Amino acid sequence: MRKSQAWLTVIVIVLTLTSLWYLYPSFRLWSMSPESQKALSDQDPTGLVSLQKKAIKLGLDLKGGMYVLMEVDKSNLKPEEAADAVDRALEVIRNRVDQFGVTEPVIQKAGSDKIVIELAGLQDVDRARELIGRTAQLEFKLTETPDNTKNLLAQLDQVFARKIAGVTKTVSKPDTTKKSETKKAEAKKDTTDVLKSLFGGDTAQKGEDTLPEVEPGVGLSGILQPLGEGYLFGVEANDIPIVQKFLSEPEVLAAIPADMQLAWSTGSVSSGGFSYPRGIYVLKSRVELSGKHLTDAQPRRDNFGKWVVDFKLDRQGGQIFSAVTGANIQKPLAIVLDNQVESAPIIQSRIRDRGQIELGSVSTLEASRDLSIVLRAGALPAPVKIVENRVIGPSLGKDSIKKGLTSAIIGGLAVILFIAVYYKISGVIADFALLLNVLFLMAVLAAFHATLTLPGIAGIILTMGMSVDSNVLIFERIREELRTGKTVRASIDAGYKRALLTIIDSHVTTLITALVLFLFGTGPIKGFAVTLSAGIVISLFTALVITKMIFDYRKQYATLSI
Amino acid sequence: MLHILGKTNIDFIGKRYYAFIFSGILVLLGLIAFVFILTGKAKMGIDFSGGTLIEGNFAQPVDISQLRKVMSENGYPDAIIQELQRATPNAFVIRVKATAETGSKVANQLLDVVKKGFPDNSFHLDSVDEVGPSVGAALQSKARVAVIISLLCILVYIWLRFDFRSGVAATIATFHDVLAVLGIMFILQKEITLLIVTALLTLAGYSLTDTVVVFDRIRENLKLFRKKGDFGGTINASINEVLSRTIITSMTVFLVVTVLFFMGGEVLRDFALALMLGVIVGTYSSIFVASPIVVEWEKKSPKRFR
Repeated sequence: MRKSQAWLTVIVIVLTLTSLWYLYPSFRLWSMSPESQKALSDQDPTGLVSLQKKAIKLGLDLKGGMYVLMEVDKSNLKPEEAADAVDRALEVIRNRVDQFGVTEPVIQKAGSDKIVIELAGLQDVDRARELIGRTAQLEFKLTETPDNTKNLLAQLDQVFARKIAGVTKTVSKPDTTKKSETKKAEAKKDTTDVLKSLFGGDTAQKGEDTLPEVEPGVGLSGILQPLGEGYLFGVEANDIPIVQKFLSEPEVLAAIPADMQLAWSTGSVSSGGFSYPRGIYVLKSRVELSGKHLTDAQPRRDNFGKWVVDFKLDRQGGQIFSAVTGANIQKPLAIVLDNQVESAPIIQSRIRDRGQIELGSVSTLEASRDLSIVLRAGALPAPVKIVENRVIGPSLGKDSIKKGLTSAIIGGLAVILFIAVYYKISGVIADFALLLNVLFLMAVLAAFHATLTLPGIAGIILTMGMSVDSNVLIFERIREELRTGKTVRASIDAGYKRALLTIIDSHVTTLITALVLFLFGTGPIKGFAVTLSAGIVISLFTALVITKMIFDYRKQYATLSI
Repeated sequence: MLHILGKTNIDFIGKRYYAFIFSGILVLLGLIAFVFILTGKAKMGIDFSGGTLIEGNFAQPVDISQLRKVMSENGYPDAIIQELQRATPNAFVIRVKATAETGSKVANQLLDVVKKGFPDNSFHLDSVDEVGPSVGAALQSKARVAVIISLLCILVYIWLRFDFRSGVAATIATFHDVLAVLGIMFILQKEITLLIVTALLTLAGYSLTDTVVVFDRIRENLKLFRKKGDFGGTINASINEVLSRTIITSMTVFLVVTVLFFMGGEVLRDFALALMLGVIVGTYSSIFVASPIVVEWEKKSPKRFR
C-alpha cells in the first residue's frame, strides 16, 4: 500500500465515523416512540431539546405545522420609519412567538417587505395566526363632546344627502316616485335601502322602489342609535356592512375633521336596557397615551369574574396618565386597540401607573392572555397582511414521511441490486460508494442544521440515481479499454483518467441548475436544491476517489470482475 | 461481462430529419402550453395562481354532488371539488380562486361552510393552502427568471468547455426537453405546480449531463479522426460508443423515479412523472437533437469541430 493511499483510507474511515456521530442523534430521536420521548422530556427536558437540536430537522411537510408569509404595509410610514420597519416587526413577532411557546420557530425576513413564519407541530393554528398578525397598537383617547358629535353627524348627513341626490338623478324614474308618508320610521327604512343600493349589502328591493326626499336627521343619524352620553351609538347587525362601507367613502373621510375620529367597538354595546352587536364611538383623535409606555401586562379575573388585562406603565407614562385622568374625572376614556375601541370606562379617580383593560368582545382566559402577550411584546410598527398561509396536518406529514422513506429505500435497493448484477464485484464497489454517499449526505444535513423536506427526500433519491452515473461512465470506459486489449491495471487507470473530465462537466451542469433552484426556490424547493447540490458534490468524492482507492488496493489484476 | 447492448453501429445522424419533425411537434406542443400558461388558461397550481385550498376527510361517506351543492349555495359556486384516492376514505379537496381577501380568512370561511353543511358528519382538516394573488404572480415571474438564468448559465459553461456551437446546440436540446415535458404534462391535464417547475429544472440538468457526455466523446474522437474528415460519421461513432452508458444511466434514474412515482405518495407523483418523461426525452434529445444540430451547422458553414 502506498503512503498516500494509506492516508486516504484513514480519511475515509474518519469521515465515516464522523458521519455516524452526526447522525446518531437523528437515529435515536426517530427510533423513539412518542411515549419514550415524553418520558425523556419529563426526566431530562434539556436532553430532549439538545437531541432535537442535533437531529436533522424535518420540514413542515413532514412534521405538520403552519407556514405564514406576511407583508408589512409600509404605505403609511415616514421614510425613516419605513427603513427598519420589517426588522422591528420581525423582532416583535419573535417576542410574541417565544411567549406563545412553540419549539423551534422559524421567523425570517423574506425580500424587502415580507416575513416568513414557520411553526412546526402546532395545534391551535387560528389563535397563533391572530397573535402574530395583530398590530396591537394600544392607544388611550378621550371621547368627543355631545355638541361636536351632533355637528359631525349633521355634516355626515349632508354628505349622505348629496350622495343620494346623485343616485336619485341617475337611478330613479320620476314618474314612479310616489308621494309617501314621511314618518320617520318609514324614511329610515327607505334610507337604508338607498344606502344599500349605494354601498352594497342586501339589496332585496330595487329599481321601481321609491326614493324619498331626504329629511334632516335621516341619513346616518337615522341608522346610528344614540346611547347614553352622546359619544356612543349602537348599530344593528343588518346595518353594520352599510355603515362600514359609508365610513370608508373618500367624501365621508374628507368630511370628518382631523381632530375627530369615528371608531368601531370590538364587541357589543349597551345602555339603558338596549343592546347592539356593534357600536360606533366618536373620539378625539389626539392620542393621550400609547402602548409604548407599557412595561407589563397580565391577565386577571376581576371582581365580577370577567377576564381583564392588568397593565403597568413606565415613569413617564404614569405621569401622563395621571395628568389625563386627573383632568377628566367622571368622563370616559376610550381604550383603543388597532383602531377599535375595546372599552371606554368612566374615569372614577386619578390613575397613576396601573390600570386594567376590559375586553370588548370575548372575555376568556385565552383572549386576555393573548392580549397580554401582544401588549408585552409591543406593537408592530405597521399593519401586516397575511398573503400566504399553509397548514399541514400532522397525519398528512406522517403519511408523507412514510411514503418518502419507503420509496427512497426501495429505489435505493433497486439501484444497488441492478448495479451489482450488471457490474458484479466492481458493481459492489460502486454500491459501497453509493451507500457512503447517502451516509455523508445525511451527515452534512445534520451538521449544517438543514431541513429535510419531502422534495428533499426526492433529491436524495435522485442523487443516488445520478451518482451511479459516474461509476457507469468509468466502468463502461474500463470495459472499452479492456476490449482494446490493454491490461486490467492499465484499463482501470485509463478508464478513470478519461472519464474524469466528463464526470466533472456533467456534475457542474447539474450543480448550476441546482444552485439556480436554490436562489429562486422557497421552502421545500430550497430543501430539494440543497440536498441535490450537496449530494452531487459528495458523489464526486465517493464515486471517483473512494472507488479508485478500493481498486488500488491491489496492484496487479489478472482478471477484473466488471 | 453482462451487456444490455453490445457494440452498436446505428445510424442516428442519418435519421435526423425524422427526429427534427418529431422534436418540432414536441416543441410546438410545449410552446402552446407556454402560451396557455402566459395567458392564464393553463391549469396552474395554487402556488402560481393564488387561491385557497382545503384538504381533509369526513368521518362518514359524503356524496361529492352534495358537497358541491353545499359549497355553491353558500357563496362558492366556482369551488373546484375533488375526491381523493387515499388510505383514509372520504377525503376531499376544495379549492377556490384568489380574491383580495385571500391570505388568512378564506380557509376558515370554507371550513365553516363545510361544517355547517354537514352538521352530523365531522370533517377532519389535513391541510390548508392559502396563497394571495400577488404571491402567486411574483412566483410565476421568479420561476420564469430561474429557467432563463439556468439556461444562460448552461450556454456559457458549455461554450467555455467546448465551443459556441456546442453551447447553442446543448441549450437548444435542453430547451427542447423542458418544452416537450411541459407540453406533455399540459396534454395530460396536469396542474403546473412549483414541484413541476422544479422537476423541469432538474431534468434540464439531467439532459445536459447526457449531452455533455456525448459531446465529450465527440471532442475526443475528432482529435483522433481529424484526418479522415468524415464529420457526421465521427459524431455517429461517438454516439454509438457512449450508447451503453447512456442507456444504463437512464435506466437507473428511470428506475428510481418510477419507484417514486408509484410509492412516493400523491405529493410527489406528478413530480416523478415529469422526471420520468424527462429521462426519456433527455436521452432522446442528446442523441437526436444536440448532435444533429452540430452536424447540420457544420454542413452549412464548415468549421472544424474543436
